[in-house]
Amino acid sequence: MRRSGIFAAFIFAVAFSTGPSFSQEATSNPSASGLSLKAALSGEYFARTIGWDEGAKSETSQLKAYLALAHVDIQFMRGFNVALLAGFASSDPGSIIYRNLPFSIAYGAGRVSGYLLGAEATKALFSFQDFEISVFAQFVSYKGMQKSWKIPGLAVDGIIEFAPAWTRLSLGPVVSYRRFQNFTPFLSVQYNRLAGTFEMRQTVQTLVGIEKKAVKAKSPVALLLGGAYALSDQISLIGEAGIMPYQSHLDTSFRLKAQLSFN
Amino acid sequence: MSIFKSPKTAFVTLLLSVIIFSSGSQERGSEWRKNRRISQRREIPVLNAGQPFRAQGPRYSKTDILVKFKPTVYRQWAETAIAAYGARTERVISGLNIYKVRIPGGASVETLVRAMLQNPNVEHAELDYIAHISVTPNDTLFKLQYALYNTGQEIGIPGSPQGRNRADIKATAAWEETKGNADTVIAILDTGLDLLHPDIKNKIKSAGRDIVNDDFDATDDNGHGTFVAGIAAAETNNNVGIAGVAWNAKILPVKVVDEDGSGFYDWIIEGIKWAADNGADVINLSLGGEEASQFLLDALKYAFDKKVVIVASAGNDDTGVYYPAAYDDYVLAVSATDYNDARPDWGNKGAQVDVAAPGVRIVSLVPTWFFGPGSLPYGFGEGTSASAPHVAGLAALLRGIKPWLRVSEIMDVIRFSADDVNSAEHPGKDDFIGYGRINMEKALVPIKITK
Repeated sequence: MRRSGIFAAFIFAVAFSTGPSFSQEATSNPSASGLSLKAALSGEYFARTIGWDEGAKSETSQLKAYLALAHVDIQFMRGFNVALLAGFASSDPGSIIYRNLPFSIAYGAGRVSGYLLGAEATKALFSFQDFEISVFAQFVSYKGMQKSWKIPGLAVDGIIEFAPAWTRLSLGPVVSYRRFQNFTPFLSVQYNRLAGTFEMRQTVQTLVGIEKKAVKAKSPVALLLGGAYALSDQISLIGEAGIMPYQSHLDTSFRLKAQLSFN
Repeated sequence: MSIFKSPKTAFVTLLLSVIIFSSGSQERGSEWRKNRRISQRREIPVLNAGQPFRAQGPRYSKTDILVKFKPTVYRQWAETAIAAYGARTERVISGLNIYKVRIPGGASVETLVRAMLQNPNVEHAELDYIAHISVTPNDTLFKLQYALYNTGQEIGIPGSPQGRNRADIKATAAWEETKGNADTVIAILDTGLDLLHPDIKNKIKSAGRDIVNDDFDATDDNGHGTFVAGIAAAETNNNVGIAGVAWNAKILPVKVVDEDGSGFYDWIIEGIKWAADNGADVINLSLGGEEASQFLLDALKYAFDKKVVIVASAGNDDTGVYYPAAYDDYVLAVSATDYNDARPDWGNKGAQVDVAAPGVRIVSLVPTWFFGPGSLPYGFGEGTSASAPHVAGLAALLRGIKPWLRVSEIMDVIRFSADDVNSAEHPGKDDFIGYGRINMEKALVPIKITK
């Protein structure tokens, strides 16, 4: 956890310290190239129903994750932004049962911290009256730090090590309403694929086993509603809430992003 | 061959049997007395001032020995060599190439073994030792199966011993996870099986093999094998009688012990090989002898290599662990605990003991003829013979639910999931109950890892 915090702080520092140098370059002739730089920090929470095959049956759990990301956003030309993302996350896969180990394990030990890397891109397509249509794509990869627990109740010492990893791809159109001066609400429908591998390794003296669960979010579609509020020319806040329907459930996500522009 | 471990047990058992079976009928009572030949014979240890049973009778055959020739020796040459000693081949355990040799009249088996060992063509020769069974039953009912679920109930009629709550193998919790697989076969190498017993007849894979009488009808003429088989896999949830540990597993009876409760090692060796060749996933050996045997070891290795889990009782003589249980690499050696999770003082001990399971006042099946017409075909028995099939049942459940596990891994899961119920006196693995009393719940049900 402490390592994650240091890592996040490092990302934050890099994002803001590198920002001005890029911005100087970008602002030297912004209108000619359209090149600009933004740095942002975002926090996100989501709860997604994930499923996996257990023999002939399909099992589900709820993956809850908290994400903290630093964004370095480069605008190559007007209306086209690409950002690199790095940060950390804490993932709680809920209850997952591993039966393909020498001793079956019902994992319910909560969150596992890990690193996040990713990228995102936004491209404005066209405007219609006060509406702007753009397309958004984001890819995030999470790798949890291996965490171990002692297996309780056995006659000998034994441990399990749990290492979750998942990736998420979001892709879809964004409709922004630009009538207001400082506030831009937006709506987006996205293909939102989350898939991963939750690996459990068990060692009980001579007994060793590894089981991997290939998990996938049950709902592939997200409906997002949010707004961007410009506090100043350089600073804006973006908030977003999403729902992802799955059968009778509604998976949810919330995101808050603080963005600093350098030109 | 003990059924009863003490005069008190014998008395309570006898009283219980009379009360349940008589039900006010003098005629039934007299019928029971008329048909209790085996029961009377098995009360011998009670006459022994209540001392723990010790195996009776000869330790080895006085007429036969076991010989294995080197692989380069053809069968015809081997038989010629045997004839040269004035002996003759009684049988050959195929696959293992072990010859049972009848010695010439006037010779001694010891002399012929020594002579055979001098023969450069002979790989090994040894006496044909005799193993003995160690338990037999006498009474009924599922709620009496404290071994599977102990509520602290009285185990029998009022006034019977009362167990300690949850001093059991946690079977009911484990059955929530699995009740076993009908493709899993437990071979019971014993005195045979009552193939018509209403509480197990639907669980029998085939009529099995009778090595003793050399046929394919392993009908029980003693009672011990039926008792042992019932513990492992009596028909369960059928509104009749008792529950078996492995609800859905099948039983393959192999008769390797005669009606007196003794079996030559060659019968056991052949039985092990036959069971391994005929679909056994688990072999239960509620029997044992004091003597080591290279051929017995070979047979165990043969079965082990064919992915058969082998479970054997440690013995009831408060001595060292009997063979085959003492063959640690290939066999799970099982000692006994009681309804309080205490070790009875008659259990054999030694470093080879892997685990323990309840073996005191265990209710199981007896052949329908055992107590005579009109009597319930169930009874109480005790000894490590009753302990071993609890473990065999667990091994069968593990084999069914985790077929990818190697035999050694199944053995380790059973060992490591045991409860160290004597940790106050002997923490960790010890010579008395090994890793502890088996715990089916820990072995089968997912272990919760929480915050």
